Amino acid sequence: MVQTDSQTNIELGSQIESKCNQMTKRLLTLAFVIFNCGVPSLFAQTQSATDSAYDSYNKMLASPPQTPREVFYQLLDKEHKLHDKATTLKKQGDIMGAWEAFSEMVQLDPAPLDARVFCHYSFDAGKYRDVVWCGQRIMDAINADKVNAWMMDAPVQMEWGISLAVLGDYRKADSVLVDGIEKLHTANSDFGYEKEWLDYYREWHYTLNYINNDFSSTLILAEKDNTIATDGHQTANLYNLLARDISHLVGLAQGQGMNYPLLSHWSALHRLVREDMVVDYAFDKSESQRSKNEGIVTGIAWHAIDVYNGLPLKPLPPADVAREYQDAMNVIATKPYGSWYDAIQKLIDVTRRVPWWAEVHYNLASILKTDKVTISNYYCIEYTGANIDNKIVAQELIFYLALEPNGEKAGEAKKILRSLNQQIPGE
Amino acid sequence: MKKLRYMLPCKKLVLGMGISAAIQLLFVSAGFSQIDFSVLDKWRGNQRPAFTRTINVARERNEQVNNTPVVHQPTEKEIRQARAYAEKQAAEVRKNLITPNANTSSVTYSLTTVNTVQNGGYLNSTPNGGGAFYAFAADTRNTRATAIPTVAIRRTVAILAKASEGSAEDMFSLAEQASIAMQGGDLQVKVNDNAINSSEKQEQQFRDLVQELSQDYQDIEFVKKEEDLIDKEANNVDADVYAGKISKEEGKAKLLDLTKQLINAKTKSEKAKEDIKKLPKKIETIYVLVH
Repeated sequence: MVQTDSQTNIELGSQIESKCNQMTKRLLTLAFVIFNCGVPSLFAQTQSATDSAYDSYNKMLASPPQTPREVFYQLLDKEHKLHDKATTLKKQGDIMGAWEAFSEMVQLDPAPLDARVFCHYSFDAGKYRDVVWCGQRIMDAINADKVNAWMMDAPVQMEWGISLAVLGDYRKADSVLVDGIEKLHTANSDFGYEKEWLDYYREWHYTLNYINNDFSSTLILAEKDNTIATDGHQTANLYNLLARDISHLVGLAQGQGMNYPLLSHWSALHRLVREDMVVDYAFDKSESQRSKNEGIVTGIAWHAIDVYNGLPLKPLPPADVAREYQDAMNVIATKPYGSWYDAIQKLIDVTRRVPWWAEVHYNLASILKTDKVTISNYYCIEYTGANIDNKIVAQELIFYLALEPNGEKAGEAKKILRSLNQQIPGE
Repeated sequence: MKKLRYMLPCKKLVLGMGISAAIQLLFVSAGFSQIDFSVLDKWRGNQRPAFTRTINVARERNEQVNNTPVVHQPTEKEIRQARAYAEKQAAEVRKNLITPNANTSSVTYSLTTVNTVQNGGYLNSTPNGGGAFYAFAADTRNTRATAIPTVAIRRTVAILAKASEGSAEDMFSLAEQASIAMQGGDLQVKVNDNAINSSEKQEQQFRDLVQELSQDYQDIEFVKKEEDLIDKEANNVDADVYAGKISKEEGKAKLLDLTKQLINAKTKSEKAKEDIKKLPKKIETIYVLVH
């Protein structure tokens, strides 16, 4: 699989760069020896002369610096030791220890070449903010003509893009990956081999495109690229890819306790899986499967609600979803009763995209309790069965109470739930 | 008689055919020969199609779908009654709704967008460096401490005070939000402006703190520039000694001075990093927060 190859590449690149760094630092040490002991002593090649040079070097490192150059040499020595420590720890499999040592080294001197290696160390250690810093640092250096463009190669750019996605900056992540795809198309082997990297880049581009836009535009992209098997199951193939990658983002953010981005990832997954139940991207629509899928979707919603409840400051819904909600509420507040259908569908869409927005859950329940319209967009194409409206009303009120147990309408919500013979959360 | 009984249906048939032919003849003569009469077949007897559910829904909403004829045209009274019922239902729903209210979150979407620091020659995001508040300190240089509005101070303080309650990564996220709040940009978290009731004295203390952070950030930035300058200066001293412009002793003394200067800058930078880490503690000393 491409991913394994990429990891090997990253590993290889990292090793080469480690060696380069080590060599640079050893050369600098040598420069010190030449500077302090003079060229003739080196040409003499006597063991005693070299020993004496290194003795003097070590003595200088141990004593307070007398010249600025000695300060720099001491700094370099410290960097050198940290670099060696990081390399050794990485070889031993201590990823976090290696990252800490390298991080300390980079803070002594944030050189772009070190940032490149630090990018791999940080990605392995799950320090996605540092990966983003590295990506930006290298790009700044390239733009300022301070380093060669090859410093930003396919593995670094990929790690930068994925890290931005993990942090919830989906738009910037997508632009970084699209830039990578363009570079791959130019067949510049300094950046990376197209055959090896293109599918990997595209896969994440589709995922981010879905999160930023919608399923249909993503399907058009995939079909245009001929990357989805045309076996009659295109939507299912794409759905599986998106579900897998968004779940991957959930796992990465969860592993690092990144709760704000995690909430965005759970919401994106909730939207995808619940949309699938309406549009039928992949799911089997049998009665038994339908109830199982309802369980999956509500499970994801509960995950999002749990994360939301644990946040020290509550997030605001994304601006585009907030506008959708405001539009729907304007229709309900001002237009005649008979023209609410689209507004209700919009409210359902908002609960799908932001399952942690208490106010919308309550308002949707209030409307559906009174307006027995056919719910065509909640969990599946045609929602049928006895008291189905009541089932949805109850579900929405339960979500509301879980999010706002002491909310302004908590009492009212409990009253309705009792009238529907439903268990009240926490009672 | 028997014969007559057998003939009667035939007579009807003949009579029916005659009438049908006469009608056809009439239409043909009137120029309607293109009409296909077979369409009438489905309307025979009880074969008239029942209305579908879609049509019923459409009727309930007083709409027409696909131009399907609505059989019953409601009377004026029925329309009035339906409208009154619908209005009653709408009023009932509206009464129960939670009204979207900008004041509850105190944050609107109409503010300006600001960019938090994402680049630069320092690590603004390593947890063991300047900590989660490095980015915040960096953004203080974009903000004139004296020009921060009261509401921005309240929001910034409220966010920073909550920042240390979450995970290390949540702290980073909230420090970024605090930077945005300080600069008056669009927030992604809800902040209650009334959570902090600050006095003028407290506001002034916060402004001083922003000034201090700005200085801390400059100290960190300064050390890198200082390294380059001192490196060049030291080379010049070496060159002067080599050229005999100054004595070895003078050169040594100059280099020692430069060394002290460099070490001072480095010490200041390290102290600044430690200061930035203490930001939430400093906020707590200014404000007593009601959580």
